Amino acid sequence: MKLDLGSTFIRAIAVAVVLAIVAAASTIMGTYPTLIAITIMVFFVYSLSWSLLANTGMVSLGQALFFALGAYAYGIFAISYGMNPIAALFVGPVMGALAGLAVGFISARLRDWYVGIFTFALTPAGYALAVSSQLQPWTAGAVGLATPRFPLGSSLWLPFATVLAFAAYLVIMIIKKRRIGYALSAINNDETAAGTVGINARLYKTIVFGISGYMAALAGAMFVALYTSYIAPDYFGYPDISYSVWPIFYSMIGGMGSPEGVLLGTVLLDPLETAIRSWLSGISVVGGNLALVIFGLLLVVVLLKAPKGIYGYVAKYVESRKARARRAAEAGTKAEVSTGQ
Amino acid sequence: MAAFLIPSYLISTTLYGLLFTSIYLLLATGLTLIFGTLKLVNFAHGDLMVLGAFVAFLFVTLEGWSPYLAMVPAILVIAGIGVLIYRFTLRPAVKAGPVNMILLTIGISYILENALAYYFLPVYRTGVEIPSPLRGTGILLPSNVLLTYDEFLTIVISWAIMGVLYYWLFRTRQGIAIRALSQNPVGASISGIDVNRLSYLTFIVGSALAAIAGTLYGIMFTFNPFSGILLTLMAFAVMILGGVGSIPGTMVGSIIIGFATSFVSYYMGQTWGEAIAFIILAVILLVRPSGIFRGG
Repeated sequence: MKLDLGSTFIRAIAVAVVLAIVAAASTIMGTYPTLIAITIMVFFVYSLSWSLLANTGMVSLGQALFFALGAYAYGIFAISYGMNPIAALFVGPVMGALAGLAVGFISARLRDWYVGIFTFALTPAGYALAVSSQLQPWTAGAVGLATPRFPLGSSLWLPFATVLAFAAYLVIMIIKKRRIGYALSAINNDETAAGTVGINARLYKTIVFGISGYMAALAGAMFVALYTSYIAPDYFGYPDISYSVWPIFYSMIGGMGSPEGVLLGTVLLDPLETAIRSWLSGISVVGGNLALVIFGLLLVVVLLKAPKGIYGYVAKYVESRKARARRAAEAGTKAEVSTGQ
Repeated sequence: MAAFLIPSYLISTTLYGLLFTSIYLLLATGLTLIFGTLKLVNFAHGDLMVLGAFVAFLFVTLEGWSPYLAMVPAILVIAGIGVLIYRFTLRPAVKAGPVNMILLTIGISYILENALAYYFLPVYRTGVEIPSPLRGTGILLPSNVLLTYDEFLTIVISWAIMGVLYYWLFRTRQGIAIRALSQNPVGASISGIDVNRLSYLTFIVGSALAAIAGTLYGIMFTFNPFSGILLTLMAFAVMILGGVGSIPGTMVGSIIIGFATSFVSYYMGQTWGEAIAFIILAVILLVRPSGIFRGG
């Protein structure tokens, strides 16, 4: 089923408006909502990177590998090599892209769930590297790495994140409308058939993993630069898998079939999650775990009852309205014709 | 490298290799049985195992049961939870395709881990071990290496269970029916096999194996609510290495992964010991994705 509401241009405008409203409203509301809005932008980029892969038929269960690589690369470039943090924010994720190409090279040769297990198995390896004594001088081991202040006025952080989030959306839309986008959706529908019309599935899958790796790493670098100012080994999604699971939550519950669905999921769920989590954490030390149980249940219910997510529901509703209107119009024309005779 | 030549190192590493092998064997056999028969990739398998260990732990510490007796309630509880998960989430989702299935079991794993953490962390903090009355006693091997009775029992129990399972799958009518089901569900159903009942049975046996593996693991190693991920991954590494759905393959796979883990941990440190399983996994996925024994 296609999830299309309106033309590409109108959808892009709508996404820009939603992002702008989120940014403006949270700025008016104060400092804390502004921080939450920054995480919305970060997780939008991150979830887009995951759904880009999922829409090519590759389920990444270890997306946090790229997220954490981006975060660490940003921190290490900025601290150990004295790079300007703004430059490091864009150069760091190149490491994520390279890792993505390497992981993609193997993943492109594997079928559905093998990709999941392979990417999943990489996160403990990433964690092991981050805490290893050999890399300690750069990563600061299990203690984590504190990063320098991002060299922009703090009132500009949210607008900056918003622009990056919109840019990530545009990249996804451009990919969709280009030859590569059509190739990817053909591969997703039927890889063998795509092969017979001359689409090199392995090449495209490797490339798309590289792009996804860059985006996830950019999200990781943004997360550190604009929000936490601190990098911890658990960004690798190990031993707690949260960092790998969040983009799945936002994408699946919002509707992974389209970037607008992913936006919907992130904008609705990210503040909700933060609110529930801080409320329950106030009640008990392990309240955060209870909040995650609730979100896990939500994911399971959505997967069982509405596999296309919220956006899928909306699209279906609009589609049926359109179909009814069309039928009514046809009936009207027929009636006119018959009365005319 | 000279460390290899010291007999006591060699003997104790071999012993740990056997231990890891025994536990991975039980865990991966449950996983491969469920996958082979129901075509269901269960990413929550390791979490069921940890949950089983925790149930046994509660019976030992609160009720004063012997850990080997506490295995029974662990099996019952985990089999029950397994049936509930299968009935209400996985079974209705079979039509939805592999992608949704994977995400569903990841979601279940996430729920189990955090639900366990909610009860576990405030009371037990970092991690626990199931206390065993046999601790510290055992048979003295050459070069002063102690084979504790717990370790001995773990190896004996797990291989005995494998023997029973093998007999059940290859020599009894029910086992043959399950293998028929794994080869061709429609054909099995036409020849009068009750597919529905056997599907439940398979999931129950798979979950019970996880509970047994969990209890044995908990007697010898420390565990916490998040130990499940690494164990799930180890079981997948064993399963893929051996060939998905093949029981003899799982045996070979667990021997390779078990001994590799033990030897690399001993000579290069625990971090690398865990990583070696995934290095083997990556190589096998690249070179021969169907595993050593082609699954059937």
